[in-house]
Amino acid sequence: MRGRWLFVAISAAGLLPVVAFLLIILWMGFWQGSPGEPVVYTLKHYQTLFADPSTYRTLVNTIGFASTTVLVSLVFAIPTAWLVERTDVPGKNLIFALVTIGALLPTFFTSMGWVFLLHPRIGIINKLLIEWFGLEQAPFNIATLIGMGWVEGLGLSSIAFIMIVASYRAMDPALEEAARVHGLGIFRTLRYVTLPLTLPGIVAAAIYIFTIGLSAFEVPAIIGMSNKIFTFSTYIFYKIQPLEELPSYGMAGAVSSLLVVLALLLSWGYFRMLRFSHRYAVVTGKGYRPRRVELGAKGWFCAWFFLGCYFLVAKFLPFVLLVWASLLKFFQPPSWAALEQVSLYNFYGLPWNLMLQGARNTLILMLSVPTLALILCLAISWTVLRSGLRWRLTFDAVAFLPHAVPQLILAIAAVFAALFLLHNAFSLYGSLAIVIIVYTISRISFATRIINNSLAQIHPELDEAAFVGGLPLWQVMRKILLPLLKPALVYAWLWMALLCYRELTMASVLVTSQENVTLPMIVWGLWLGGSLNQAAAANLVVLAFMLPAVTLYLIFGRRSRFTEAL
Amino acid sequence: MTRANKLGLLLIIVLMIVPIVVSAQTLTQLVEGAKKEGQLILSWGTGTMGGFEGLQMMEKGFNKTYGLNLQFKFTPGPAMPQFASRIIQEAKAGQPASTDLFVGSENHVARMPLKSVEWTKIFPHITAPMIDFDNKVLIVTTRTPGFTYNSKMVVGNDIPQRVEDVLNPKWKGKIASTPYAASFDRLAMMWGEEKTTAFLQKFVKQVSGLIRCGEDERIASGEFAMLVFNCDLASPQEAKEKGGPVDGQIFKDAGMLSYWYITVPANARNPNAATLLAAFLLSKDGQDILYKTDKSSSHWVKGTQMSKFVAEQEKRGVKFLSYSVMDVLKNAEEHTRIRLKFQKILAGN
Repeated sequence: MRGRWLFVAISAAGLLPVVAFLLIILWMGFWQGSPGEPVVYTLKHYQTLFADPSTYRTLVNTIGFASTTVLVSLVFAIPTAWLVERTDVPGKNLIFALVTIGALLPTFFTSMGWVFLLHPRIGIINKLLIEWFGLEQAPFNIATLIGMGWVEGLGLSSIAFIMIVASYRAMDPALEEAARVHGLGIFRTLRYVTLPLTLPGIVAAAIYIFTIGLSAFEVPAIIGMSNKIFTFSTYIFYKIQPLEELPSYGMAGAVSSLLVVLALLLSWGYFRMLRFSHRYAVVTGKGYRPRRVELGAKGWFCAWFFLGCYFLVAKFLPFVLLVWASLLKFFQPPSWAALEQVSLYNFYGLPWNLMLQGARNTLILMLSVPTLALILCLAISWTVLRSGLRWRLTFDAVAFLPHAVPQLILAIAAVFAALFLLHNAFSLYGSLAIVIIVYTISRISFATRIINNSLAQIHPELDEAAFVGGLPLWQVMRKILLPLLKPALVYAWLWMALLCYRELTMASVLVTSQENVTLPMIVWGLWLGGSLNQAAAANLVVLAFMLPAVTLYLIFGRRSRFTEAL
Repeated sequence: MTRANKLGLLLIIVLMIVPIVVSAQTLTQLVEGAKKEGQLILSWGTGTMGGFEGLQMMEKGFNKTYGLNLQFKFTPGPAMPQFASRIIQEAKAGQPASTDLFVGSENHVARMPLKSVEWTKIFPHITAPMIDFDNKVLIVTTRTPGFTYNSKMVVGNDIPQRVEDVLNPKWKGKIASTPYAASFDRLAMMWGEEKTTAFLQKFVKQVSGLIRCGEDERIASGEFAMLVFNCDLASPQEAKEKGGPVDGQIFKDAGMLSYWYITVPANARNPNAATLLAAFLLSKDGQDILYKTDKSSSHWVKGTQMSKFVAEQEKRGVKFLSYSVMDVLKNAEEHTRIRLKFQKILAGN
């Protein structure tokens, strides 16, 4: 296999900073003071962590929250992905648009909105139900683990959808047809053929969403804390950001190390599945012609009823809340009195010059980060699934780890490296370059999951035939793998661009000046400063800025489907 | 007049003039230095110092006062503890600070390398009580922690006057506190650790949730009837002015004065301009901007809202506890221990 080592070298180069950052985080767990202070080693953070009974309660809460999040997101993402890619349901472009736009809404608005809807005391829905049915107490309570998981899961269903949809796109329908020929109905075909064949994609999405749940902050902070439910993210946050003292990065490092171990355990099952990836190869040299399941009028109605309900609660409601918040000086539930206070006040006070600078930087990030991440991840996924190296799965384990570490901690490790380890060689601190590097590293997990899923579905016989024919690896990549992977790569690229737009927590550490300020950082800054309504206005402006990117997404989506049909 | 007398008179005149000339030269030097610097790089949380609106007004007022035309380059910063840690790291790594002027509390400024300035000599409007920590920090605003309440749910005689009033069974499950146990460590400085702990153990049964200071819309919505303690009265006052059914008050038996300090990091890029801005913010004009955009001011500056408020409360019989940077530093470990203990109680652990 000519050129194999070039790919392995690119993979290793991409994963080297991941290993370095993780080592810094593990090291941090033994620090007494803050980064930059003379290092005094201690075990007290681990002692405190394991001796404190609240750690175990927090662990149980976190796992409960993350599991509910996975369940909710998959319940919506799997059927939506199946409907879009495997059926003839009408309005696919609209579905893509709604899923994409929905993913751009910040979770803190959604969280506040659900509090207003389902809080036992002030929730509008609860109040109505109590009034209509004469109930003694509120039937719903959003401030529970299930409630939190519901809100987080709805928000993450878009990401789950994107991760799963490529698997459905690449599936050979002949297998489904064969099942139906043998008398299996649509649901049994789904259960015994479709779902098992897309299992790597679903498991990868589930693990990915689960780890987001482990470190998700806004929902636990807004909804969980209102009922004193702590998860690891809120636990770390208040260790890092006490009101009066300097942050305790040592404790944050210790908790992050625990999360890394948890992520490695989670990945184990996924790695086992990858070892048998050939079982899931549905694109073979024998024929590849995706065809759609015809639903008929009744099926279309049912599909759109499901999608309508999903978009209503997961996308439309948060968007309406965002618009509502942006028009008020003070966030409050909808009422006639509130309607009289509606104005454009929040838009006038926005820092337009800074937002323009932020827009420029965000655009650079949205173009460079996905491109870099795809180049690295293509090499990593190929190394993991095709290189045949003995330690190839280690590459995948390392690629998954950045996702397990809370992004705030990852950024702190990067800043430490830039300030104290690399300062003589590179002037990275405070530059846009450090933001590009850290964002790229943090996306490696996401992109490798998507490319792994799609590469696993392409039977190795295709590239093996090309190698036998004497083609070097880069030619095999260009002529065979890249065209077949194109839908997944386009999804991954565009989605990572959108994730750059959403990124908040890493930016709060990496952004130190106007030179590298990003648009989401401005929105986050407004929210953190208590200007929830001005943050909503800023977010709407940013959404308008994102429209060209979303349009691009739709055009590419349509074009790749068109190419496929040819 | 003899020659000796003439010389004596000249000496007296020189002695009288020299300090003024030195001060004037220093101020001139600062202004000249600021001109050369040409800009100010600033960063803090948008909830501090009036956010973007405050910045615009400061830029205008500052340039007018000193006859300059400097551009303020502002970037929203993270929370104060994280920001303080950032500046300490930048200084250790030999990097310029990411802000020319830092705003924070005692613990934040204490471990930071800071520029010392002869404030009272250069700026006549700055008096000794406004300065702390060996001329390194200025008290820019005074905070008076108390409680925030929903003015529709908590009315008339139900409005707590003393801290123990919040233990009224009526409020069970309707009170929020902060996850960082804001101001309870200061309460312990007045009441003692034992009494405060006993109070907290009863109080936690009233508390149904933990929210951040500044989340006033959650009080306005009725999700919680009160936030006890809050970090300051500025935030509820701002929310009230925006039309929210929210108000704030201090407890008669728990008057506390805590401060935001403003300071020039030793590694600031534009130290001259930063020094001038710090001094401007302690002028009446600067304080008016802060009150207009942030509802905060310093009680040490005559004629400010906070100086009137403190005087009124003292007339009501409120005794305020205040402390210096050095007080906090001396007792830092003890404060941390107590704060962590109180945080655990409030979290229900």
